[in-house]
Amino acid sequence: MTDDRKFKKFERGGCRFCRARVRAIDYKDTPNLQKLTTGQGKLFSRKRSGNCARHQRQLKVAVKRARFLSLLPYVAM
Amino acid sequence: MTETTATRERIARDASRVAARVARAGPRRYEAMILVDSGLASKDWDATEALLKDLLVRHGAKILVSGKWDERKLAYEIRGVRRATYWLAYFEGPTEAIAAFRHDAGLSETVLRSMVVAMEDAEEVPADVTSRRTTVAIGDENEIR
Repeated sequence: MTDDRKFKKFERGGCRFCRARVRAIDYKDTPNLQKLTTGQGKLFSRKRSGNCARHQRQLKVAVKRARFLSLLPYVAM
Repeated sequence: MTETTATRERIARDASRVAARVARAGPRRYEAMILVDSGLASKDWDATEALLKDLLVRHGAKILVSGKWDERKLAYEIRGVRRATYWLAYFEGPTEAIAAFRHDAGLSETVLRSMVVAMEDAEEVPADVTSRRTTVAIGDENEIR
């Protein structure tokens, strides 16, 4: 199954990454990562962000990498 | 538990698949991000960059693309530093080079922090270090319920 067909299944769904046909979430893309974290710096749940399981897992890793490199805070004031 | 013929065949099939993938894809490619104190980097960037490149090259890595990614205020202080220059490099090399690089980067006084991430086989090395993989608009915060 090609990636395009995989995404087609979720085209009308809630996952913004599937709609944008994003294959991999980049930890360097901080503006987009910040949209999916709370003011405190915590990740929004799937229920709130509407992400699919696959992209939520990728997002989790990307946010953790960004935090390690001080691109995002671990805890924001 | 005894190993059945089917199991042995499956293991052999998996091993040949892995060998074929390695032969097709070539050496593993990595992405390294290194943080340097901006004050230090602005004094003599060429010397700083040469030092960072040497950290990778001395262990047999071959740098494909590298350069200054950004200079920005850190989300939290690292060793009392508030502003850092981010240096990004895409390279290929032996697995042992990664552990050796991590060890050297940990001892280096220039390197504030570093991270090495393995790239997917299908992933293309960008022509420019400032390009991002996720460049598309993914909606805004208003979508969050």
